[in-house]
Amino acid sequence: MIISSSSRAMVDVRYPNQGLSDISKAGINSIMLDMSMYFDLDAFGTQEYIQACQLCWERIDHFVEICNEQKIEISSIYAPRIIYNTVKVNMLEEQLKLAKISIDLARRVHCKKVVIDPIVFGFDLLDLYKINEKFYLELAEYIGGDCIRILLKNMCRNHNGNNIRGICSNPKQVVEWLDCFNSSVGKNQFGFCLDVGICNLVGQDIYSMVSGLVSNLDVVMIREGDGTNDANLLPFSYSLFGQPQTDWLGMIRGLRTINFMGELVFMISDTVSTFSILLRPSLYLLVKSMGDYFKWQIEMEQILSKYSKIVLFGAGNMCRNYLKCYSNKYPPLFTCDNNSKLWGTSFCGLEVKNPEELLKLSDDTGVFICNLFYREIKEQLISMGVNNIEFFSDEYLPTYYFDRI
Amino acid sequence: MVEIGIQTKNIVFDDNPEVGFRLMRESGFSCCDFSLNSYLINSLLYQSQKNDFFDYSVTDFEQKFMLHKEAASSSSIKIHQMHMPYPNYVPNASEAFNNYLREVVAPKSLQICNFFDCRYIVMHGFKLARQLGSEELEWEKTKEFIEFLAPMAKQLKVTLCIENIYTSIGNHLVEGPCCDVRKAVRRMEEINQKYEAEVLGFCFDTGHANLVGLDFEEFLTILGGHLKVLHIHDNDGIKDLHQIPYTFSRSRKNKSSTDWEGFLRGLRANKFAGVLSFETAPVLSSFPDAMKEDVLKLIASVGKYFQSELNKNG
Repeated sequence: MIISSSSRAMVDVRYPNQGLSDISKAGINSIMLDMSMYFDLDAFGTQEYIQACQLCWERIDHFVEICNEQKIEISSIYAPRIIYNTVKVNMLEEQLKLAKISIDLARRVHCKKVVIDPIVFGFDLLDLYKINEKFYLELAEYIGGDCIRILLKNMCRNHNGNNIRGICSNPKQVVEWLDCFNSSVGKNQFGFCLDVGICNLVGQDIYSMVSGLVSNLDVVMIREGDGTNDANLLPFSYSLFGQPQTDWLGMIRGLRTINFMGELVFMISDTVSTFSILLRPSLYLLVKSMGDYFKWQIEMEQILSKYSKIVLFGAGNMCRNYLKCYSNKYPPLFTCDNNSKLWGTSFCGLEVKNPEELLKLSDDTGVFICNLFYREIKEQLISMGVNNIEFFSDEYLPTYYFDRI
Repeated sequence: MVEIGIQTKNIVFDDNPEVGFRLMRESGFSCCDFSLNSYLINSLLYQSQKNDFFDYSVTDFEQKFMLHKEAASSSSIKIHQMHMPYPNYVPNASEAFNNYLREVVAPKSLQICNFFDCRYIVMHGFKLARQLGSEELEWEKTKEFIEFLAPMAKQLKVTLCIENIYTSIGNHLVEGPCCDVRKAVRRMEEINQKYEAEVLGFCFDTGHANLVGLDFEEFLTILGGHLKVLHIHDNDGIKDLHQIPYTFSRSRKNKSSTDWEGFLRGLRANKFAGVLSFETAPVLSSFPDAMKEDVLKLIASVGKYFQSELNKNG
């Protein structure tokens, strides 16, 4: 899985050096180049827009050059788009032109994925499939034999200030569209980019959306919001009553279900803009940690399956939760605990042993810490000379319905 | 021709139901949605508590509600639909408590529905997706509940109507059971085929749909003949406020933020010929009692507007 960040707000259009350097120093080595930085379609027709278009290649070339210097891969490109609540106008011709420019850039930088929003504005809802079919097939023809995937994205529309699900917001419909487009071009050229922020804005069941997209899902845009305004906030940064307003549980469960191996992009321009430039390097370090955390959560089962044998550390709630969710598929040999009174006893049917027993394990055994004092226990195990130390987490379990066990 | 209805909650009271039904008729309604859920309120159920209302026998209920039935009839108000108490399942409650909801409350609700010669009873699906891990597994539990009731529903010729409802993540109201219309249609068809009767239909709730950004027109169009009843009310897209349509605007244009044009287009596409039933009880407790009749007339006039718009286009 690739963890990347959108260039928007993180990188200055004219002077990309500092932003890209901060990103690189934080350990983020993939970026989604948001072409709206160079082409603001909302300003279409204005002098500023024309001027920006004239300067775009010079600026993009500079961006690419710095990326190369900083060893940052442009993992995906997001074509310029009309923001969802804009005044509805038909800008199909301009959108097509800019999508082609995005494809040209993908060719130049050997990027394999270009996210191109479906055409939504300026047409009758009933005509949208045909309009989009023509639009996307023309783009596929433009790509020709090059190995570049076009990714559609879920949309929402605005009704007098209210957010309503738009096209590509139902997984069944998305899969139908993609199947038709791929069938028309005779290869698997079309895929999907899921914007979790849009799902959140229209209160969608994110698990159903993700799991319904199955192997068509290439990119997931992650951002937090309050569920009402279209914001690009850092995940977990908006909470009420101690809970985030975005269904991260549904997203993680869904991505696990489809064994997601694509790109997870942080879209956090509002958070970035709010932070002082002096604080941004620290913010990007947090973004990097968060990316690693999401990847780890999503790949939890893959980590478990790495080992032929599993042993747990901890004989409390987290151990119980492990047993309830994973004991059939990944049965542990035993658990251990620092509380000597528990040694030799059984916890939920699992024998509790002295941690010293961990030193007798074979190399193909993973030791999963099932206790909130992760770092402390990890240090203990390292000092004991235990290998294959892993963390288990019950924050995003596949199920919480434990009465059945 | 479509008719106009409203829920009985905050209008019809047990001590003198005739007053309420007469008020409905005088305000411009011809149908009602009998709020059986008012007798076993959800806030209690969520705390695994209940009153003794459903401990009474069906004969007791018939005696109790005969007054309501006669009052509705004398005021020419048809009891078109009924709301079953909800939730039908409380995740942290005891097995005995949930069995009571399934084996006592639900069947007796159907029998009361039948007593009123009412053919549609609205029920909520179980909210268990987060616990079970997926909406599909959640539906399996709701389906078990429906299948428990289906033989009785078939025998009584009552249609259970599943409703699009919401759940919450933190403070954010998000999609709950029955919000995916394509799945809902497939599931209703499966169950109705199995029981060779229309034991399952749909109640489209405009307010709940608005909260989770459902496209009214698309939803109603796909729903087709499975749409049996409506819960019409409005909100700000954030909270489930059960207000009068056209109440809210969220842009400087000051146009209604709820897509009522889409609602009407959807009903036309659906060829809906049922009852435009308003679920707006909170409006009545919010306005002063002295204005109740005026408020009811306003709600009815919104219904008449919808009715005329639907008639305009055949």
